[in-house]
This record gives sequence, C-alpha cells and structure tokens, in this order.
Amino acid sequence: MLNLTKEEKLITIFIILALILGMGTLHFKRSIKSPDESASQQDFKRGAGLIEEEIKKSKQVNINRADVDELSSLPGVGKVIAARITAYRLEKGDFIHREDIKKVKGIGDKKFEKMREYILLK
Amino acid sequence: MNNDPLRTENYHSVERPWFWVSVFFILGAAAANQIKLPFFILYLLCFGGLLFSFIFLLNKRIFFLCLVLSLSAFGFLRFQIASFVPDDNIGEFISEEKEKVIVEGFIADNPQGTVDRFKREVVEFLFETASLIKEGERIDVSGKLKVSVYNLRAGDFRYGDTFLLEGSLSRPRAPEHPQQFDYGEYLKRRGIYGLFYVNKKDGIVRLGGNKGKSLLKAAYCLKNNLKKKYASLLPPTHSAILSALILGDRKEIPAPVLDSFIHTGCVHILAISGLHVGLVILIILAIFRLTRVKAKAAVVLCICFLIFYCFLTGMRASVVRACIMGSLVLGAMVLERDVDLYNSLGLAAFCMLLFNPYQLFDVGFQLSFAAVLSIVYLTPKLLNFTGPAFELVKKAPLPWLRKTLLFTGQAACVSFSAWLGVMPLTLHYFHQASLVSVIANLFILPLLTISLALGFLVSVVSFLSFTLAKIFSESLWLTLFSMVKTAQIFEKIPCAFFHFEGVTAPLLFLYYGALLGLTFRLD
Repeated sequence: MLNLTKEEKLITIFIILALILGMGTLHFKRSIKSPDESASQQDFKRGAGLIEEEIKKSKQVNINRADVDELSSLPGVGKVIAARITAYRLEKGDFIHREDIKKVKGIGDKKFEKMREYILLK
Repeated sequence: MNNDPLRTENYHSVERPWFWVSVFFILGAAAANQIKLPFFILYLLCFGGLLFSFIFLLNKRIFFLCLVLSLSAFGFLRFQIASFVPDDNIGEFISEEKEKVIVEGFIADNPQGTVDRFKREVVEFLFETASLIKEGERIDVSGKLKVSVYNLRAGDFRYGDTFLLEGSLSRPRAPEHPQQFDYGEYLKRRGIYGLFYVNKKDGIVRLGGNKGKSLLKAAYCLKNNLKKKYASLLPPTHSAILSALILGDRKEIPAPVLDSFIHTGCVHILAISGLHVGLVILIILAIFRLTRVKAKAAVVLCICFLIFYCFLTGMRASVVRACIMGSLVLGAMVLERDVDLYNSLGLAAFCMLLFNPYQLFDVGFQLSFAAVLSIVYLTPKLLNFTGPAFELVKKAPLPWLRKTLLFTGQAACVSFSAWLGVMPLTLHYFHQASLVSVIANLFILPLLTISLALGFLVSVVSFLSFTLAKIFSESLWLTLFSMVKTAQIFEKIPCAFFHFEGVTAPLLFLYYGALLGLTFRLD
C-alpha cells in the first residue's frame, strides 16, 4: 500500500515502538502517583487552591540568578528589558528589595505591579 | 619498459600512503618535543628532501628516503612553529605571584556553570585577551586565559561578548614531583597561558560588540537550547548522560555514575566517537532517503552537517577524528572508490596534527587513535585465530541462534581488540584498568545504540512538539536507566577493575612492540 523500502519499514517500526513504550512508561509513572479519589469537595477546593499557589511559585523567577530567557518569562518583560536587568545586576550588584527592579529602565509602577508576585529574591 | 606515462608501473606506488605520511610526520613532531633545531636546518631538510625526491624519481630507494626525511622534517618544523610564543603573548606578562590586573578581550568558548569544592557557583570560560592593564600601564597582548567568575551564572555570559575584567592573574601551579600531572603544560598545549579569577564585586564591565564567529554562535546557541530541553524532559542524571552522548558535554554527570562507567571500561560511550558519528550519518542519510534527496547532494549535506556537529560538540579529538573518517567514507561512496581504514586514519591524524601538533600529546587523541588502530589491526587477526570456534557456531541448529552467536562473537573480538589497544594507556594516565570491559560492553553497546537513536529523535521532535518529545523521552529514560544500572551491576563484580601505577612510557613502547610482534603472523 505505502510501498516502503525495508529501511523505511524498520524506521517506522522503531518510531512506533518508541511511542508505545513511551506512552506505557508515562502511564505507569502517573498511575503510581495518582491522587486519592475519595477526597471530599472541600478538600478538592483546598487542594486546587494549593495547586494554584504552587503553579504561581513554580513560575516565580529569581531575579538575582535568572538569565535573559528566564527573566523574559516575567509578565511584561521581553528580551530587551531582560537584558537591561542582567546589565543592571552586573553593574550595581544583586537586588535587595523587589522594588529595586523599578530602577531598571523600562520598568515602571504598572509593570512592577504585574510582575510583583512572580519575583523571587535569593 | 612501457612508454605510457599514465601506467602505474611507471610510478613508485605505496599502499596506504597517508598512513605512512602520518607516521613519519608524527615521528618528526615527537622528536621536536625533546630536541630543538635551528629553523634554517629544518627548512633545508624539508624542502631539500622534497627536491631530491623529485631529482631521484627513478631511483626507488633514494626517492622514498628523501620523502621520509622531508616528512619527518616537516613534522619537526610544524611542532617547533606551534611552540613559538609571540612577544605580546599574555603569558610573558604573568608574574610568579598572583596579582590584581584588568584584562580586555572576548569570551572564546561556551561558558559553563559549575560548583566548586566550597559549594560556590562558578562560571568558567576561555578569554581571548586584547589588552592588559597592569600597574597603570596598558599593554597590547594576545593569547587565552582560563577565567573563573564566582557568584554569577553562566547565562550572564555568552560566546563572543567583549568584557573588561578585573581580577587576579596567575600561572598554573608547577608539578611538585615529576610523576605529577603538569597542568600548566596541559593548558599551554591548548593555547591557554594563565588563570584569571574574578569575584563579582571586583569588576566586570560589558563592552559593546560581539567578536564571535557566526557558526560557533549558532552551534553554542543550539547546544544550550538542547541542554535546557533535555533538562525539562528527563531527570537530572539521565539528562546529563544524554548531554554527554549527543552534545559531548559530560561535566554534569554525577561522580558515582561516571565512576561506574570508568570502572567497567565503558566510559568511552560517554565520549562522542565513531559509533556516535556513524549513527548520525545513518540517521541523516535515512532522512534524506525518505525525503527523496539525490544521493550525491545528500552526501555533501551530510558532510556539512558533520562539520557543524564537530563545532557543536566542542571539537574534541575523538569527534574530529570520527567526522574526518566519516566524511572520507561518504566521499568514497560518491566517488565510487574503495575505503581503506588505515589510509583514512592516517589522513585524519595528519590533518589534525597539521592544525595543532600539540594534540599528539592529548590523552583523548591518543586513546581515540589507539582504539581505532587496535580494532582495525587486531580484529581480523582475532577473528582468524578464533576461526574454529566460529565454525562450530555455524553448525548451530537454529538460524536465529546461529546469527546471535556469530554477532556476539564478532562483537566480543572487536571489544577485546579495543581493550588490548587502550588498556596500557589508561594504566599509564589514570593508573587503573577494567577486567570486565569486554563483557560489560557487550551489554551496554546495544543499549547505547538505541539510546543514541532515541536521543536524536527526542532532540529533533522537541522543537516540533513538547508532548510528543515527552513521550519519546520516556522510552529514552528506560534505555538510559538500563545503561546506568548495567554499569553499576558490572562495577560490583569482585576485581572488576584494578589500580596500578608502574606503567611508564618505555614500558608502553615495549608492550605495543610485543603486541605487534606476537600478532604479526596471526593472519
């Protein structure tokens, strides 16, 4: 039907096997980590709230250690402002307070409010 | 005598010419490491030898003698030129004691972030200097320094960025006794003449402009991108192993895991070499065949990719050797010529040493060429020697059993040949060798092949779909996990490896001479 050569058939079989094995391994890993299904509605909401907090924490960026790509993930920050933040850091040293990031050109009060909860200082 | 000048009987032909060219070139370069000769004598020997070889073209003996003299003199000359240090080299301005200076220049390689033994974050890179400011005086200099910047991340520095750095400049410490590793000499052979330490508070000023080469910038950008993708798809240990297999960067492999591979004689799989490059070629050619690209165009594109892959993986000796030999095999396919491995190996060695003769004393260079040479030379002899055993295997009743046993037997001969060639060198440089290497490799190499294929698949798919890449990476995780576990199991076997410190250079020559003598008539 597809008129594949022997080599093409081997490559196709290899990719399909890799897909099947990968999906199987992923499913197995998730099944041994599955949450307790008997949690009540309140527990679920509390859990959802905690998860939301965890997601926010996982999106936080350490502005004293992050590189240009990581800084670009902050809301309102593109490559240009991210480069200015790293240049400021090299020149003046680490940020001590979150508000110090407003000293970087291009970050005003509005932009700072958007990114405030995603800024981590270490 | 036939009058046709194009008939081969009219010329002195040599089998494997590039092999012998590289042998005599190496002899000359090795001699130059011990003695110095005036340049005019070397030029005289080199060009005089060439001239006389043309004059005595019809006398075979004198022709080859003059050619050998010319080649050896050329090797000697090339090495001596490489050891020449210009007056403005930064090494000439480094004091015996550490001192505070300012250097200006640009980053000459891909900065690497690491952690030192005091748990401080360090960024290390090579720095090509343009000027030195010392005691208020500005001096134009050249040459590279190895820079270590503390308490900053690698992401703050990129290849080609120009900087003004203030810090401590010093020479590498000299060895305290003759047997100790000479770090200064090791760095000098890589064109690095000093060490420079910068604390963030000292002063780092980024200057405008970027002096990097576009090809290297693209290679490093792709490398950093791929490393981040691997880190997001796999656990840290397996992502580090994948970085070693595909990108040639094994700095982040945890020490216990690395030790398992070293102790079982399988650490070579973490260095990109013939197997990796061979697989890259197969994959690239398969992709071109699937997309119906013409054979000659596919080969040319494949060679271009191999050159890029060399830059991507840091231009280590084993990769460069494998890429040169791979390109020669591909070229032979296009030109419909036979391939001779000795000739290809010789040409690869000659090209690499012509570029940098100091590579002759690089451990990676020696191990890579010793492994290939011993495989090419010893494997046919071992297969011949174990011929009766193979005849017995051919009588096995089941075809699949027959094929499996034959393949395993041949693989074992290859593995044993490599071990015989490489073991004395590992004893000489690292004072340890493995006794389970042959068997461990039989289990690990098939897993390596699958891991490499999946690794390249994940690398390509990760740019198209993260979800699909995640699924493939789970299969990859399984094979990498199996590789690590196999190495750890073999490591635990009693007497899997041993330490021995008495292998000196004369003993090495004795060993290889004896091996050559014993196996010469095994055809």
